[in-house]
This record gives sequence, C-alpha cells and structure tokens, in this order.
Amino acid sequence: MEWNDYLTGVFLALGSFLALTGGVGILRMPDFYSRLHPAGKTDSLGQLMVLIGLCFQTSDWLVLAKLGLIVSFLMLTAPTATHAITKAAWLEGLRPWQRPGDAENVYTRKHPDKRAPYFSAAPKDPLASSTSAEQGQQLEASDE
Amino acid sequence: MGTVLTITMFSLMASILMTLVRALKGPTSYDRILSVNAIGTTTVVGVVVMGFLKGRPDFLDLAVVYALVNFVATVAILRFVEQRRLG
Repeated sequence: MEWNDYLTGVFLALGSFLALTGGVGILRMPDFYSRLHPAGKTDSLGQLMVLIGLCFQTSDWLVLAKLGLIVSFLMLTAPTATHAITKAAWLEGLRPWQRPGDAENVYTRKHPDKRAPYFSAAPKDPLASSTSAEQGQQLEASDE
Repeated sequence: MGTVLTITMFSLMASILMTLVRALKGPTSYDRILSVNAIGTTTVVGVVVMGFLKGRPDFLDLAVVYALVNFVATVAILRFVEQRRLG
C-alpha cells in the first residue's frame, strides 16, 4: 500500500459513511422538507468525497479531467434540482410537518383541505402576513 | 485497493436501496422526485467506482452523460408535475 492508497481509503470511507447516512435520512425523516436535508447536503458531500478519493488512484490527466468534470456537474446540478423541487412543493401548497401536540401551526390552521394532511391551502405567504400584522400592532402601540 | 472499492460500492448500493424504499412509499410526488434525483446522483458515483473497480476508465464518460441526463430528467418531471404538461 502506497500513501495514495491510504488517502483514497480515508476519502472513500468518509464518502461511504455519508452516502449511508443520506440513505437512512431520506428513509426515516418525518416529512418532505426534512428529507431535503439528507438528500441535498449529504449526497452532495458524499459524492464529492468519493470522487476526490478516486483522484489519487490515477496518473492519467484525461481521467483526472473527467473526474473534475463530473464533480463540477454534480455540484452545479444537485443543489439546483433540490432548490427547484423545494420551490415547486412550496408553491403547490405543501407545508412543513409539525408535531400534533404543537398548539400554533401557522401553516395549516384554519385552512382545512381535502388533500390534508400532506397539503393545505395556506395563505400565499403566512410568514409575511404575520410579520406585517405584528408591525401593525407595534404601530398601534406606538400611536397609543 | 479492490476491497475498499467493493465496500464503497456496497454502501452506495445500500444507500440506493434505502432511497428506493422512500421513492416507493411516497407519500407525495415530491418525495418521489427527490428520491429519484438522489438515486441518480448516487448512481453516477457508483458508475465511476465501478469503472475504477474493473479498470476501465471509459465508464467516466457514461458517468458524465448520466449526470446531465439525471438533471434534465429531474427538471422535466418537475415541470410536468407543476404544470401538467411539457413545453
């Protein structure tokens, strides 16, 4: 075993661990928005680690160039795809999951929908409306 | 070196299997799209590792093509789900 084999082993072990945790996270997280975390971050870092580890196994510059090309493609497209999925889901009306015991669910209360519990026709931007209401209360308080 | 590459290949396949279970279970279509995208990313890495395992660097070209096709497919499926039509 040369030094580059040890380096490759470390990077591949890290990449394998990240890939496994990504799979477990996608399988076991409670809702779509929390599944984005293992799918978007862990997979990107895992593939980066594996491909960097493989870079030490070759001396051919063409293979190195192709590996760099694959890394740059994946690092460009994976976050873009994750962002597109998230935006499409939010615009469709999918809202984050909360525990049933939580009293305040700003996304799903007062707006029952036949597609519940996964979809709910919440107002377009509940965070903006709530903040504007709070600002209005603050203005009224300052007037008093 | 072959042992390390084989172990990496097996862990990638286990990750793909777990992601596939999520793609089959759903419950929303966005979970399925996300899972298929993650499977595609893992498959690209698996193709590269397989090329190094078999000593065939030609597999890297397949990985480049698969990465591009995976991204285009994800965006196309998203547009179809969003607008119920392509174009």
